[in-house]
This record gives sequence, structure tokens and C-alpha cells, in this order.
Amino acid sequence: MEKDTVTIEIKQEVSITLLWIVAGVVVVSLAFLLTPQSTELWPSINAAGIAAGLYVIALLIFVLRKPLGTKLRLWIGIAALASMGLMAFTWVRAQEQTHWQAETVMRIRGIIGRGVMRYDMPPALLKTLDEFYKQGPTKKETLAAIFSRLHNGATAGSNIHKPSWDSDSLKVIVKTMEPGRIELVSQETYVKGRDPQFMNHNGQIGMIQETFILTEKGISHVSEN
Amino acid sequence: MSQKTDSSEFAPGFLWQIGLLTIMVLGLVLFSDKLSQSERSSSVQRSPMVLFPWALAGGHTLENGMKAFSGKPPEFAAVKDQAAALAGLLISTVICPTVFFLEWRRRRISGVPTSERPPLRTSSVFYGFCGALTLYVAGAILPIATISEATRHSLRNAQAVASNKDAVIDEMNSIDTDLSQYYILPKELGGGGRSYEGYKLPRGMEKTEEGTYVVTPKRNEVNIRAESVRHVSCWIEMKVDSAGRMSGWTYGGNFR
Repeated sequence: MEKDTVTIEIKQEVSITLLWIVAGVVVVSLAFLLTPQSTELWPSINAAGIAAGLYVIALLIFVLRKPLGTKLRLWIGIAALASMGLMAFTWVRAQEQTHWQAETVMRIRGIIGRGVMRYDMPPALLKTLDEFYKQGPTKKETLAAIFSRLHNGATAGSNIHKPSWDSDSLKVIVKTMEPGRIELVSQETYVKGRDPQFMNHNGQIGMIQETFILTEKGISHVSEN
Repeated sequence: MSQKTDSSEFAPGFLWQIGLLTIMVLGLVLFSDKLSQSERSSSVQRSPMVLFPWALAGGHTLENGMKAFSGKPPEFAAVKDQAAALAGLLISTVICPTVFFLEWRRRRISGVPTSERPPLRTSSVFYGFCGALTLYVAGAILPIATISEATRHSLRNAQAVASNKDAVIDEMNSIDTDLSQYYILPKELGGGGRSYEGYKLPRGMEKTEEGTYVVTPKRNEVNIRAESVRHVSCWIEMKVDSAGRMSGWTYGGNFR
């Protein structure tokens, strides 16, 4: 059987262009694909971006060699480097800015969480304190008895928070219930507080936690984490 | 032998080609944005510029930020997004600049007048397309950098004001709890015995890092005015009634 041979002629300039493109695509793609995967896209595109930057510099050195005029080479080189510098600046700023925005969103979530706790917890204790002193000088009921009566027989460990909406997952737990002392604790389940090592009431570590303590002298607030 | 290096590469015909192709590229970018938006169900509005891959990476970071807000774990970028980022990078930094610069150099050195070249050869069109895209990427970066710096500045300012406002409101909430407790407690225990009269802010509460507070107690009502320490023209006023309810919130300055 006769073998057919196909010969493709490629002009020198086309082959140089193809060579450059293939080299660039391989280098940039390898840098992108060999970067370990993470939940962020940044490591991959940063590695690929650095490879692409080095590639463009090499390309410019190749393109702007003699016999092109010095003035032209200088102008195009400066313009290209300025453009690349500006791009690198925008790139880095974009990375910093988006991380700042994502962190700000979580900080806002923390502020909302603390705000809801601080808004939700004191009224239950103030109402108990109010009832306690409305009894006059002779106290028939202790703080604990009043609190339990006002909150459907709540005891230590009960959750006294009534959900305000379907996905309202806030819990206000009665931590301590003694005749003259009631401690309420509330915590976030996924929002980090100040101390990453803090042991939360439910056994989690490092989450936001606020505590309010009621005694006959009034309410004290401890922002635990 | 001296090479001719000052021939006019950007003759009217070439400029016409570049202009036309720039419009085509912009049309393509806008069309691809519309197309990708219709496919997208993401909570984060992403930048249309796939040619600038940091916009995709930033969009993904923000999406994960929103997931964290709702207590969901972060996710890996979709293969589609990874492919788009890599493709954008390859087109804007490898393929188009290479075709454009190498062909530009060849034309520059050959010195063939523009009028002698057939304008609509496939290679010319591709060269023009790559040139338009390279110049678009290089030229657009200055306005993009300027706009993103301005946005960054205004976002940070707005966030600083909002954080301060939240902190002041939080401290006013604490004052409200203290006031309610004062109202309830008998005079023997340092309270007001069913009156706000005589109430004084606890030590350290008159001025904090966030604001200064002034309370004007009457028998069954208290006016509270807070002035921001960080943003001097900003203030908040509200009233607390005998049941400890806060009302009549009024905001001034940038707190509005």
C-alpha cells in the first residue's frame, strides 16, 4: 500500500508566531493548573498572571529589538510597562478589596448577631426584676420563681428565645437558675468572636458569646467572646 | 544600511479597521456578558470583563463571603469559571499580544505601504482583531484602575460610617438597659424607684471610643443624644419611655 505524505508549508513568521503562542499558552496554563486547588480562585490566577507577565516581558524584548528605531522601542516599551504596572496594581488592589469586602460581610454578621442578643436578652431579665420589686418589701417569689413563671416553667438549660422568623436559629439558654441569680447565655454557631480559643457554652470553640446575669441588684452584661 | 522605521503603520485604512474591530470586540464583550448573566444564578453581580480575570476571582471570593454570612461552607470555583479565567488570561496576555506585536514588527520592518496591502485578508482581519483587543486591554486599564480606586475609597468611607453608627446604636441599647434597671430598682439600691429622675450615666459611658452621650432624664421619659467621636457631624437622638421602650430615633449628618 502506497503511503501518502502531506506537507504543510508554513512561512517563517507564522511559525515564529505559533511557537510563541504555544510556549505562552503552555507556560500560563501550567502555572494556572499546577497551583494547588483551593476554595479561592486567586492562587491559580495569581500564578498564571505572574507567568503571563514574564511572558509579555519576554515577548516585548523580542519584538522591540533592532532594527526598530530606539525612540519607537523606548516609547512602546514604556507604554507597555506602564500598562502592565497599572494592571498589576489593579489586580492586587482587587484581590485586597474583595477580601476586605468578604471580611466586612462577616464582621457585619457578627455585629447583627451581637445586636440581636443584646436586644433580645435584657427584656426577659428586666421584666423579672420589675415583677420582683413590684411585690413590695415582702418578697413572696424569688427571682428564679418569677422568671420560671414568666417563661413557661423554664429551668436551667431551657431555651427561652421564641423564633421571630422561619430561619431564626438564635438560642437564649438559661445557664444558671438560683433563687437570687439567673444567668442567660447566647452564642453564635458559625460567627467567630474575639478569642479563637474561647470555649463556648455548647462545646464549640471561638464563637461569639454574650451573657447577662440578673441578681437583686440588677443586671450585668458580660461580652464573653 | 539604514532601516526605514518611520513609515506610517497607522494609516487611515488601518485606523478604520482598528475602529471597526474595536466596536466588534466591545459588542462581543457586552453580548457575552448578557449571555453569561442569563445563565447565572449567583447572588453576586460579577464584572462583565472576563478579559480581566481578577474580576472573576473577586466575584468568587464575594460569593464565598455571602455563603459564610449564611453559615454555609466556601465552595471551589466552578470549572466553567476557572476555564473562563484561564481563557481570558490567555486571550488578553498571550494570543492577542503575540499576534499583534509580531505582525506589527514584521509590517514595520518590511516597510510595505498600507495602500499596497489587501485590507480584508483573513490574516489582516485577525491581526486587526488582536490589535484592537490588545489596545482595548491596555487602554481600558487606566479608567478601570481610576474607577476601582474611587469605588474602594467610597466603600471604605461608607463602611467606616456604618460601623460607627452600629456601635453607637449598640451603646445606646446598653444605656437603655441601664436606664430600665435604674427605673425598676428601689432608691435604697441606687435606683430611681419608678422614676428616671436623678439618673446618671455609668462611669466611662459618657464618652467612649465611638461616641459621647448625654441623657436628659424626666420622671417617665429620657432623651438620649449621642454624638459620634469618629465622624464629628454625625449624631443620633432617641427617647426611652417608662417601660424602657426606645422610640423617636433621629439621625443627623452621615448617619442619615
